[in-house]
Amino acid sequence: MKKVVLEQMSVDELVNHFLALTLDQGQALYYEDNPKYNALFRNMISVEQELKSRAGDQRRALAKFLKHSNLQVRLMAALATLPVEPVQARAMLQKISDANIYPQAADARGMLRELEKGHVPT
Amino acid sequence: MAALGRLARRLTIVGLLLEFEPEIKSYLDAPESLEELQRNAQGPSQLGYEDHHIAEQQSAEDYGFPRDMIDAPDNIVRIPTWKHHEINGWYGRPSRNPPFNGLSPREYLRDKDWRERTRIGLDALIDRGVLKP
Repeated sequence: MKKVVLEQMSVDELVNHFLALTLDQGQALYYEDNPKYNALFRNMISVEQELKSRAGDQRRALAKFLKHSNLQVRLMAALATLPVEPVQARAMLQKISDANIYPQAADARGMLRELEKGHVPT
Repeated sequence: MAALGRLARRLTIVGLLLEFEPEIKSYLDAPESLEELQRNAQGPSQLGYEDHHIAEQQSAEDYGFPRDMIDAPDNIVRIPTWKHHEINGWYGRPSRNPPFNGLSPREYLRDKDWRERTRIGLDALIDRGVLKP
């Protein structure tokens, strides 16, 4: 398997990698494949950390996925962009919660509850 | 032949709907109070429902909590089967939501007391529309 070196990737490449990982997460959830989901999740967090380290905190480049057709992509984009695009991201979490499609609605609710309690994402 | 194929597909869908009717119906239940969910668990078993430990039994047992505490009536609720499966899956997946911060709920709860396990278990039920907030 090809080794991905995040430090050598452009912002666009990282953003596309985030998309691929979150689309695969959706499939892993559908097939209840937790080991696969967990690996994809940890890779996704690494991509976000790399984007955060780029000048100007490039996690904001993920905001375009708040309108993606795939629910898992929208959820993960909302959670990733909460620190940089809090209004848009929170509005998307509320929409996902209101749609009552699980498991994403439950994850969105969990974060919304913490935000109401004063959690500040970083 | 195409018409036969369509008919076969429809019959398959109808068969699946009939087979899983109890699970589908229970999945659409409105949230109930904690007392209702606990009381239901004390009655006879029901199609489409399973009994669920609020403080998850696997990690509680691994930590050394006694079995009579884990199986106490106030720790058991009857919930829709598919919501039960969803919650069991969720315990094993990492979450960035506080307080998990990248751990799975099961990993997070590894060294937590009973009160915290119960709090997390109740939130899981609320977040899936099983328990009234």
